[in-house]
Amino acid sequence: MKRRRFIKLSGLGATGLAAIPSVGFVYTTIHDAAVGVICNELHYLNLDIAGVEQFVQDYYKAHFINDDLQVQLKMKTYYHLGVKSTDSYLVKELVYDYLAATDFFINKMDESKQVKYLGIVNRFSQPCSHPFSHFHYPPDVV
Amino acid sequence: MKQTSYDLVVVGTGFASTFFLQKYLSKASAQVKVLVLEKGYLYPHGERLKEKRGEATPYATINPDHEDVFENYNKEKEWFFSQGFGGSSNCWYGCTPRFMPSDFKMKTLYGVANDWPITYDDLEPYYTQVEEIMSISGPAGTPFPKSSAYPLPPHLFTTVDKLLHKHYGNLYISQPTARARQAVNGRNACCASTVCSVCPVNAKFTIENSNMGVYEDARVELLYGAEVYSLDLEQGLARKVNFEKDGKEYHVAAEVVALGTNALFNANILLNSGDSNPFTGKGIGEQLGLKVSVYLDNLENVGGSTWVNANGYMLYDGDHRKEVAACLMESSNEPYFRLERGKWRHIANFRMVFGDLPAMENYVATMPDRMKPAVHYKGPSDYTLRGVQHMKDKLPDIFSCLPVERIEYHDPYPSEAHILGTSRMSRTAAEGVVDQHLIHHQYRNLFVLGSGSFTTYTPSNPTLTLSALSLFAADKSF
Repeated sequence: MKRRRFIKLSGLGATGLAAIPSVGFVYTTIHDAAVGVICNELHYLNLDIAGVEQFVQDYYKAHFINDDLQVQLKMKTYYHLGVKSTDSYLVKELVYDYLAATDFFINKMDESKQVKYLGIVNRFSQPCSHPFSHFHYPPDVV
Repeated sequence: MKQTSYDLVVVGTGFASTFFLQKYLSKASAQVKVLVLEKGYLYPHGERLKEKRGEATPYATINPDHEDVFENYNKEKEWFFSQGFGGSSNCWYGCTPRFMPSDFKMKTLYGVANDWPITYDDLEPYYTQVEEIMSISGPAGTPFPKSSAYPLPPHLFTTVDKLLHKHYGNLYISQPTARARQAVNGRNACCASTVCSVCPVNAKFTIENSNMGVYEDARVELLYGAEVYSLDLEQGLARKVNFEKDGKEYHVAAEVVALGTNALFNANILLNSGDSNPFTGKGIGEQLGLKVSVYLDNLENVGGSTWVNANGYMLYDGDHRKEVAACLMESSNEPYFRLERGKWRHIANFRMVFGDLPAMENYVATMPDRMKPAVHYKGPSDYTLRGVQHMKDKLPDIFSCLPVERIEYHDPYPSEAHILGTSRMSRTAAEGVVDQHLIHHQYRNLFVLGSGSFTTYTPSNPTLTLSALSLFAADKSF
């Protein structure tokens, strides 16, 4: 099943609803689970789903999860059970890194704007991109 | 190597060597011959950046990784440094607070450890010179006395920094730093990229971008790939410097020798040479640091123009130092956030840095591989650990001027990336290795430079002070 279609069927995507474990556990890929975990956690934001998918693809390119069946199992379980970042470091890290890689903070945390993925954070490649710095909050407004 | 004998042989090209050389050359005649032995090679800043960006560079393996060049017998403790031309200027983060006057008088003021054989006032003019050379950004008011303004204006406060500065005045200041606030001397302005080890915009002072002219001086011959392992010590003098280059052994005579590697390798060279001073190699240590997260009630902590935005001195000086270590607060301005809706940046992170005292049970020893020092380190002293508890007791009150939800204390970091104290400074040979001019008590033409000479370990970052000590030593000795 294509990932985009999976997201749609599982009730996530643009509607951003909580994870629905109706799709078989064994057929869920870690990528689908990770996308689901992010959408579940940030259900109140208008996420660009294609961007979330791209983030997960980039994020897991060289991630230890690819070689760790136990962590893969954890991620799928967390998705199906709707585990939140407050209860799992794995979820917290994933969602944290996703948000850091978007324009959410550059847009000053405006929930009405669609959240777009910009690319995995590498401040050596993207210097001066600190979203809370004086460039975005000059001294006269701090 | 063009000569068999030199007026001065310097080992290493980091801060300690470079500042020493700069002062020496400013006073020496046009005829002097200086040899600088650098065991690594130049790894240009632009190439370092490529590596950090994940791009290929032929320089990536030109210098060995620091972990491969010494043996660490305590895996829980890490010691960070950088190999190659410019030494650890290639990995430092550019924090340059001065020490406090009290740091030099721990015995007299607090009955702890030993006094340094120099005072803050002795060093003050040299602090100023280093700050000029490094183009330090800093505030007008400081908790330490200062005879001149910083060359560059201070970095900007965050919301929380502003509130703390308003409450504590000069005990909470914009951090003095070598991360330039404005473009200067070929460097760009810092833009809070917060990955300062290799600054992506070249805002941080390094030996490579220093424009000090030391290694371009016609009197100086710089030899790369020259790994010094010992000195010939005879009749109270260092006669020769022994090194390997390209698999061959070399021996070069010198009127004066200056060891300017770090505190691991200075000690290793001295011990390989048969230095019998009981303090050589002893007392290796550094500061202890830990992160504190302050969760704020409806206060957005934004702004700021650099990485460590401010320093707090509220737990630094005072009679508590008789019992517990001083603490320097660093206000961290990394782009962290809370993963909580509506409270994203309602948080401030601080690094609490504690001083320590030298202990004989922490030491550097030689190994069968003469190039490789062994580090034996038991851990921070009880004095330091009591400082951590003292901080935890006091911090809620210190932050009472902020709307605090809760304070979270994290575990200590494995390293502050400083290596201190294997050739400690003292008035007599019975108490240490080098005198107030960093000259070895037993070998009177041998300088042992750098933070290995620190008598006690203040919470303040060491680079500014070790650089000022190099200027002071060369100025008073030549």
